Amino acid sequence: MSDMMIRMQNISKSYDGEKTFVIRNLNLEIERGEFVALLGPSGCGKSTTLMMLCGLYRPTSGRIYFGDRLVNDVAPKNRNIGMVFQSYALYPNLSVYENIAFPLRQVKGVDKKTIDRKVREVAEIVKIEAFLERMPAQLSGGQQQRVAMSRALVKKPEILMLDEPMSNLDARLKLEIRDEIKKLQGELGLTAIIVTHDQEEAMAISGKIAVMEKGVIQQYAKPDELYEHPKNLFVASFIGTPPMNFIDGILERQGEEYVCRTPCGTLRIPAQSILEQGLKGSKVVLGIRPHNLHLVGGDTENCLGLRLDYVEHLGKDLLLKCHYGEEEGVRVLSGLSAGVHLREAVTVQVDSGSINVFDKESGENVTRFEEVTSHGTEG
Amino acid sequence: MKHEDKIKGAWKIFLFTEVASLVVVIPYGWMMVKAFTTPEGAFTLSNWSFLYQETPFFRGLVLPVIWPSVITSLIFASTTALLQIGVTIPTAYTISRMQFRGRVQLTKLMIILDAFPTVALLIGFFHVLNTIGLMNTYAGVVFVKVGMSLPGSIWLMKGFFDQVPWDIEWAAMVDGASRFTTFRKIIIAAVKPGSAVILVNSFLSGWAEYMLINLFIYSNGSTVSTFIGLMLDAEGKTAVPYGVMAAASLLYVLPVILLFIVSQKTLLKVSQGGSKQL
Ligand SMILES: Nc1ncnc2c1ncn2[C@@H]1O[C@H](COP(=O)(O)OP(=O)(O)OP(=O)(O)O)[C@@H](O)[C@H]1O
Ligand SMILES: [Mg+2]
Repeated sequence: MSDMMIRMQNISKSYDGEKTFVIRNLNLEIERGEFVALLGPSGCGKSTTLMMLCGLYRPTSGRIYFGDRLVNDVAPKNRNIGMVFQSYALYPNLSVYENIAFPLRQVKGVDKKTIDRKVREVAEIVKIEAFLERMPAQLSGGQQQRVAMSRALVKKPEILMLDEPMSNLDARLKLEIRDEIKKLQGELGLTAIIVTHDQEEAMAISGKIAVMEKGVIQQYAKPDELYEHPKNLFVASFIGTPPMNFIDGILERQGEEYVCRTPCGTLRIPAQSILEQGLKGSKVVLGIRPHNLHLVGGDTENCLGLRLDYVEHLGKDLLLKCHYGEEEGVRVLSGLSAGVHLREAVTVQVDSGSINVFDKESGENVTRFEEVTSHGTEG
Repeated sequence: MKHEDKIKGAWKIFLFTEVASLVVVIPYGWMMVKAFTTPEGAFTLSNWSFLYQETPFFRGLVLPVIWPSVITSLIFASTTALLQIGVTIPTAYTISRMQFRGRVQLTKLMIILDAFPTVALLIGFFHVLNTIGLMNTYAGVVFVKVGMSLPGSIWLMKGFFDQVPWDIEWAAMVDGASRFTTFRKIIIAAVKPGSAVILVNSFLSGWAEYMLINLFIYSNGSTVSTFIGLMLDAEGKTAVPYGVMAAASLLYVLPVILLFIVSQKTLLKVSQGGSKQL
């Protein structure tokens, strides 16, 4: 455990004198060199968590360690961190050069030559050498973002913190900058934490994701594990585009298997793939990813009967928007649309073993994942 | 099509603006002309003799040389402006940024105080100045003047500070700057247009001050405003030599125009924008 870079232990945060808590009993461990995303909907406390890590907010209770050092009372400047803000927070009255030099100028005894060398060095890495003499207002959003990055990196921090660093960029630039940040982080061996509400961004850039809701970490795992085995309904609904389908069902044990009756069909699930102790009752929610549903001709095993509403073209694939019952929507990802007609009935088969079963009452995932639990949740 | 509609209606606005500004422009034009002409209408520079000698003015009143009054006015206006900005900036910053009890109430009080007419408080000021022994001193007048306009300027300045994003201050903190360094190197620059507005306004208002000086300073004509007032106070106003008065008034507005030319660039640049925000 010696290579743990950051440890947050039982962190709580209240802004109103402990009447309401924005962060509740949060525990998070980040290894050296890891890239971690704090992911969650607006207002869930991502920024608050980051602000506590960089020392701008104090936790109401709990401890934060950087390595073996307790940093609760350490000022931001002494935490050896670099920070990129959502608004970039460039100093409007200083040139790009002076913006990047600013952190160095706050350190006593750094001579002009060293400052100049370091500024140019980092400007080259982030590719903004050409703009050093400009004022921040004369730069595009993407260029400003790069300046903010260079300013965060110029003191060669151990930890890089990014609060929604790409939310002000257009879609293409986002992809570009995302790759660059990832590359920089690897090359410089930084430990990085990024705050984002964009699950795609989090999946693409980080090695591990903490999914937050209402101040609580719902699941902290690698992207593929979050995708394959979401711990509860919240994580399941938050991760993945197009999103997972949810279908209500009633579970009934029949010998070696469970029979699950849903409004659109009956599915059979092997008994050993459900954690019985997690079930509070017989009501469950089935979570099925759109790509695990396949159009079939007739009614065979494990099929659902739906009605096709419309078809969306995603390039290589088609996204079929269907429904059952009143207006319960189900999305199906399909390679082709042969033989189906709008407003007509379609039958889809569910990949066996792809179903996530959630207890309706607790929202917890009660599916047993034999192969993955062995290497997925540790570390 | 829309574009043409806009132009069609625009002439009404232009006409209104033109007529409205005539009301202002005509007296200035008249002043310019009068300052350089004899009552008979011939060109002359004799109206400007107060620049270099005592001038018999009217009914035995002798106008002194104007320069001491100009200097007093300049000092009075500059002191007012500097004191004003010096108190406004830290106070407004504190109200904008720090959490303390009664912060909201204080802001509300500022707005009310700003609306108080000076005249209503004159008796009070007489009393205060007498008590602290600042009657008949410029220090006393500056004190009253600044005191009266502080609530308004603090309130205005708070608005400018509110516009500076917290992120910038936080960034500076992470970068290792102390709160004071951040204030001095970053925040002050970000509110420069606001400071300029207050500096220029309070200087001009000090330069224009007539009533308070007239009331609290016993000697006559010691500033440019009261120098001009001297002529007004003469009895039989109908026969006042307008030429001399126009010349003095022209001299009086000159610094105002100069100040505008110097400061307009900053004043017009109200937003500097350090980042492209959504
Ligand atoms: N300075 C503050 N004072 C009081 N409440 C605050 C403060 N900052 C944040 N909050 C509250 O704490 C909660 C979490 O805010 P936080 O900024 O951490 O959310 P977030 O996850 O970063 O959301 P977003 O994606 O919108 O940035 C919100 O309910 C917010 O209203
Ligand atoms: Mg946030």
